[in-house]
Amino acid sequence: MSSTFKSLLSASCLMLAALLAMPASAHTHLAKSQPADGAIVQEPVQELMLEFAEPVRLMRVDLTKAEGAPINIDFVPSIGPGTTYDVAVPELAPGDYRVHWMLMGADGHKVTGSFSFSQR
Amino acid sequence: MTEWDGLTLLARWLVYISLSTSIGGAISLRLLRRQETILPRLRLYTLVSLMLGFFTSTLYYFVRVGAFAEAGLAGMFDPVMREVLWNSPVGGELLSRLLGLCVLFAALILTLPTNRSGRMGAVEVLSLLLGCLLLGASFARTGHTTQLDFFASALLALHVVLATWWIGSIYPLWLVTHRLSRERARHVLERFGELAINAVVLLVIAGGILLWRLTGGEGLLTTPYGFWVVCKGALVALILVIAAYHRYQLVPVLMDGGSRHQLKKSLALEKVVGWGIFGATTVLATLVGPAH
Repeated sequence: MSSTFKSLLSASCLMLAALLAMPASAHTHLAKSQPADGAIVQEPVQELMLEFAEPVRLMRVDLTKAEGAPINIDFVPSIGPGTTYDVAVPELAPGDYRVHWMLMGADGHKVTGSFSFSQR
Repeated sequence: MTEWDGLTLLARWLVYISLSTSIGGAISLRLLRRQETILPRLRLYTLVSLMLGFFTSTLYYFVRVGAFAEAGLAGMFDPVMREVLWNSPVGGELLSRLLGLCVLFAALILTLPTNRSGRMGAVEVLSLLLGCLLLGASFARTGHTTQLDFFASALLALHVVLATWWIGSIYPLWLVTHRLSRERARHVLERFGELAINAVVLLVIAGGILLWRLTGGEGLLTTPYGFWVVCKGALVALILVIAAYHRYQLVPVLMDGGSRHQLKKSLALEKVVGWGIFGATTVLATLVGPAH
């Protein structure tokens, strides 16, 4: 079998496989949070819940009060991947809060995002 | 772009270059085993490349730790982040890379005896295959293709190994041109040209399929990812033109008084373009994404 024929055969196999495949989907994202983004809650918030569209490693969660210092929430990064994370928070005074999160996706990339809520 | 993005880009680019010279050097030692005059220099090239490969792969891991820790340079050694990343695809990528380099180092040791025919030769070939497989697979542990299937991972590994072998073989070919007689040099370069044609066909097709799988052909002219894909494509086209110029213009006239100097200069240019391709690939793999 000539080398040119072998190259063409390999190329044909690769092209066939390509035709049978579909393009990739988008990167992961925060599917849902508790409190939800922009929510105004009356009950005291005791924990934050973050739910992602696919398994991720949550690496960091920061909670800050508007025009205030960061609030210590004693978060430890997760070793294994998961889709839902509950993060306990200390007693919060009424006000506006922003949550910044950082994760590692299944592809090893760093993804960041944030959401905010108000406690009355 | 943050400072960590810049450091990540630099470290990954260095990983591409050092793994390329490791793979190119190790395979050249096998392919050029009868060219005694250049073997010592080739062994040195491969050894230095492997050492750089160990260093840059480890550096890249610690840069990733620092990027996640976000605590300055000291964050590169943050024990919690180090543990988390070691148990993640980033750790798997490093492990696969270090194992691959160790296997290529074993292949290098096997080239030391003067007679390498027979069983030792087979062990060396197996070591080369395993080492290249581990190094190629390391790139499939992370990055955009992890969203796809096993076939895409295998294709990426093939794409990486072929590309790194090609670019990493340029210095050995430069040595061939510089050190061997014109007749021998022409023979070796022609043999390499035959091998390279098959490799380039597979390389370009694998890259094209991966691109289609990742983008579906959308956003190539309107997104940052598309911009860098076009840049990479232009550099690949340029390197193909240079390779064709060598094969069809410079190599055939080498024995008839053709200029070795011109060929060596052109090989140096090919290497620079190859490193540019690695640069564009680094941006595609770290800073921009098909669906960002």
